Amino acid sequence: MAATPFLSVQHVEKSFDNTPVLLDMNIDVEKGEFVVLLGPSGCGKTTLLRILAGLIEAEEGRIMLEGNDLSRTPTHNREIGFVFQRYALFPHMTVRENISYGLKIRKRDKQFIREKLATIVDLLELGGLEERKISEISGGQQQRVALARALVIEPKLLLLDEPLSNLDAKLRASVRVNIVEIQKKLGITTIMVTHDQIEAMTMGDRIILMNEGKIQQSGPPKELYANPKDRFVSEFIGSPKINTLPTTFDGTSFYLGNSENSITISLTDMCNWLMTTPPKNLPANNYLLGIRPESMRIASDGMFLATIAFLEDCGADTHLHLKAYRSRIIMRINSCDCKQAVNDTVPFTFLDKSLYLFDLEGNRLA
Amino acid sequence: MWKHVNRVLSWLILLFMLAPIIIIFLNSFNSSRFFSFPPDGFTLEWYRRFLENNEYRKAIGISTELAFSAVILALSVGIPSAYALFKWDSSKRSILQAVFLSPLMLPGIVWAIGLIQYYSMMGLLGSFIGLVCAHAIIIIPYVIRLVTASLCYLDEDTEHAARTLGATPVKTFFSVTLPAIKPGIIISGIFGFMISFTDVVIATFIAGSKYITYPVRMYVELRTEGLDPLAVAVSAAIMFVIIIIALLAEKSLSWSKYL
Amino acid sequence: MKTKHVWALVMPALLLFVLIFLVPFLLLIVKSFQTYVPGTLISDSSFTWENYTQLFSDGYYFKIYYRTIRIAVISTLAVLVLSYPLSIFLSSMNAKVRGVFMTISILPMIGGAMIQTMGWFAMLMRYGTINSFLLGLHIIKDPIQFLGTELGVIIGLVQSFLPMMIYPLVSSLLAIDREIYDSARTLGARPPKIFFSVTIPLSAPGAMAGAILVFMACLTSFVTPSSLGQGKIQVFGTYAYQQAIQVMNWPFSSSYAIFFILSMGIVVLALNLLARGLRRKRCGSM
Ligand SMILES: Nc1ncnc2c1ncn2[C@@H]1O[C@H](COP(=O)(O)OP(=O)(O)OP(=O)(O)O)[C@@H](O)[C@H]1O
Ligand SMILES: [Mg+2]
Repeated sequence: MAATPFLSVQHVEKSFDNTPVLLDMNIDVEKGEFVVLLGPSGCGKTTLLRILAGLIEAEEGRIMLEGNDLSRTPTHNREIGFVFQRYALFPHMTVRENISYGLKIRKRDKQFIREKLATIVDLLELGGLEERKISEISGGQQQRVALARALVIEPKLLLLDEPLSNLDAKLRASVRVNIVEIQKKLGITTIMVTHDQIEAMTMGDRIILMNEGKIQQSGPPKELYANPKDRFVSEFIGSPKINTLPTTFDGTSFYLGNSENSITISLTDMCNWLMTTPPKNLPANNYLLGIRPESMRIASDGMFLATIAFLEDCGADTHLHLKAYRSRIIMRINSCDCKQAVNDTVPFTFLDKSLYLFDLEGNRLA
Repeated sequence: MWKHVNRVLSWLILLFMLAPIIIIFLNSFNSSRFFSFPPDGFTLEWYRRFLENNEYRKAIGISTELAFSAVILALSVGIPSAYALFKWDSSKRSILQAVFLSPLMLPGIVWAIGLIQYYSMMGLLGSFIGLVCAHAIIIIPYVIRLVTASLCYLDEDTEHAARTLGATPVKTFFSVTLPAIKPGIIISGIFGFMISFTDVVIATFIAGSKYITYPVRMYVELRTEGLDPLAVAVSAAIMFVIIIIALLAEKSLSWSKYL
Repeated sequence: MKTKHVWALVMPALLLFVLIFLVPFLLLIVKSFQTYVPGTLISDSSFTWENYTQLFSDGYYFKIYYRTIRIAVISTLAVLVLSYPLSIFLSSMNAKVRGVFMTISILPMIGGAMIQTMGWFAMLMRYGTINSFLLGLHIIKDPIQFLGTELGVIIGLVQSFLPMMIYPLVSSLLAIDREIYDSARTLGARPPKIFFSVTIPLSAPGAMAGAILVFMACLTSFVTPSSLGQGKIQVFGTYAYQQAIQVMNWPFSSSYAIFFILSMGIVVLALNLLARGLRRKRCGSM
C-alpha cells in the first residue's frame, strides 16, 4: 500500500442551483508541495478552495488531511490558512490586531504572541506598520498582512485565492518570488488559485489545470507546457497562445490551406516535425496542427511562405503576425534576428519534434 | 440668477420647517406668559420652574425608561433577525423582511385601535410592558433596515477569514460582524429612542393613567388648558438635547445617509 | 445559513410580531362584527353587519372621509411644491455640509409631533407670534383665526411631513448624473427648461415615493389635527380617537378603522402602481 498523501481530495462534487460546478475532483498533495490550481474564470477553483477550508460543503466526496477525514470538522478546527482574493482584512483592527487575531483566538499568552508577531513581521517586511489601520496601508502591504495573518497560526495547509490579482504588474513579479521563497523556507504545503498561466508556471511545483469543474491535466509546469494532453491545455499554457491550423490528411499527405493556396506536407516530413509519431493507419480526415509561436523559425530554405501582417516588438522578443494558408499565425523570434518589415514575404519552417496533432474534438494524437 | 432665487426660496422653506422649534426656543425665555411677539423680556423663570416640577420630571423619567426598554427589546430581537434573514438563501426571506417592515406602511392609529382592545382583553392596558412591546414593534423596522444596510457593506470574506483563523461562528459574529454593523445598530438605536420618546398616538391609546409619558402629558394639557410656558420650556430643553444628539450622530456616523 | 438556525434567530422577533402586531389586527376584524354594549368594554359577540351599515347610512362619516382626503391631498401637494427647491439646494451641496443640513431638515420628525404642534400653537394663537407680528405692522386690523381651521391643520401637517418627502427626493436627485445637466445646458436649455425637462422627469419616482408616504401620514395623522384643529376639524384620526378613547365604542371604531384602511389602501395601492410605472418607464424593460 502506498503511503497516504498529506492531503487528498476524493471524489468531491458540488453544484449550485443544480448547475454542476465541480465534477468528481480527485487530487493528492504531498507535504511541502506548492500546487497551483489554474483554469479559466468560473471553472470552480475558488469553490474547491472553499470546500477545502470548510466554508462550503461538498455534496459528494471527502477531504483527507494527514489521513483524517475533514468532512465533520468545522472550519475553525481545520488549521487551514486562507488568503482571500480581496484580502478580507478586518477593517476595524490595526495591522497588529489583524495578524494576532488567530493567536488570540487560541488563547496564547502575550509573550508568545509578541514573539510570533515579531518573527512574521520580519519575514514579510511589515516592520513599522503594526499600529496602522488597514485603510492606511497600500494594497501590496495589505496583501502581505493577509499572508502574515494566515501564516502566523502555523496552519497545516495554506490556501491562496488569486493573491496577486489585486496588485499592479510590477509588484506582482516581486511578490511572486517572495511568496515562493517564504513557502519553501517554512516548508508549508500550499495550494494557490490563479488564472494567470505565468504565475502558475513560475510558482508551482505542480499545476492542476481545471476546466468546467474537471481536472484537465496535472503535472509539473514544464510537462504541461511540453506535453499537453489536449488542445485546451496547449492553448491555456504558453504565451503567446499556440497556433492551431486546420489541416487535411488524405492517407498519404497533409494539406494546409485551401485549393487556391495550399501546400502539401509528406507524412515523413510531418512525422519529423510532430512531437511524437502519429498513430498507425491514421484515417483520412480533417485535423488540427498545433504550432507554438516559438516552434517556428525563419529559414531561407523553409518550405512555407507567409506575409507579415503586423510586427509586435516586445523588447527582447518580437511577435510576427503572419498570414499564411488562410490562417493567421504568430511566430516568436529574437528581436535581434528581426530584419523584416510589414508586407514582406518570409520563408519559414518548424523546429523538429515540436508540433502537435489534434483531432477535431481537441484530443491529442501526436 | 436662478440659483440665487432657489437658494433664497430654500432658506425660507427651511425657516418654515424649523419655525415651531425656533419659536419654542425663543418663547422659553420669554418673560410674558402670553407669547407676545416680540418677547417682553428675557427670563429663566420657566426653566427654574421646570427643575422644581415633579410632574414633568416624572413624565420624562417614564418616557426615558420606556424608550430605553423599547430600544433594548427591539435591538435584541431585531439584530438576530436582520442577520439571519440577510444570510438566508431562501425565497421566504423577502416575505419575512416585508413582515418586519410592515409597521412602516400600516397606519399606527388603526393598529392602536386593535391594540387597545387586545391589551384590555389580556389585562395589559396601561402596563409598562405593554407599552414597551408596542414601541418595540415600531422600532424593529428601523433596526432591520439599518442593520441590513450595514451588513451590505460587510465583506463576507472577513467572516470567512475569522473562521479559518479558528473563530467559532459565535466568536466570529461578536469579533467581526458586530463591529461592522455597529453604525447601523447605534443609528437605529438613537432613531428608535427618539421615536418612542416622542410618540403620542400609541401611548395615548394604550398608556392608561399610571405611565403617562411626557408627550402624552403635553398633549392632554394642550388640549385641555392651552399652552403653558412651563411645557414650552420643557419642550425646548428636550428639543435641545435631541438636536445635539442628532448632530453628533451626523458628525461621527453620517447618519443621514442611512435614514 | 441553515434554515433551522435562521428560524431560531428570527423566532423572538416573529413571536413579538404575531402577538403584538398581527393578533390586534385580527381582533380588529373580529370586533368590527360585534355589537357595542353601552357603558361596558365587553361587546356582544354575536355576528352583525350593523357597524358597517351605520357607516354607509349616515352622511356624517362621508363628510369626515371627504375632509380627511381633502386635507391630505392639499397638504401633500404643498409638501411636493415646497420640497423641490429645498431638495435641489440640498443635492447641490457637498456631502459633509449636506449631511448637516439633512440632519437639520429631519428635526421636525425626530423632534416629535408634540413639540411641533406646540410651536405652531404659539405662533397661530389669536394673539400668537404671527398675529402679533401682523398686527404690529398694521397689515391686519383683526387677528386671523388659524387655530380650529383647516388652514391651521394643513400648515402643521405640511411642516411635520416635509422631511418624509425631502429624503427620497434628495436621494433621487443625487442619482441623476451631473453630466445630463451639462449636456442639457450645452444643448441650449435654460434653467427653467432644464428643471421641467430633466429634473422633474428623472426625480419623479423619488417624488412619487415621498408623496405616497406623506399622503398616508396625513390621512392617518392625529396629533396635529387634534391640537391645531381644536376639536373643530374632525378627521379620521381624531374621530377614531373620540370613538375609541372617549366613547369607548370599540366595535364601531374597529369597523370604522377597517373601512378606512381598506378604502385608503386601494388609493395607495393605485398610487404605488403608478409609481412603479414611472420607475419602469425610466429603466426601460426591466
Ligand atoms: N454561491 C454561489 N451560488 C451560485 N453559484 C455560484 C456560487 N459561487 C460560485 N458559483 C458559480 O460556480 C462557478 C464556479 O465559481 P468559482 O468562484 O469557483 O470560479 P473560479 O474558478 O474561482 O473563477 P474566478 O477565476 O473568476 O475567480 C461559477 O459559474 C459561479 O457562477
Ligand atoms: Mg475565484
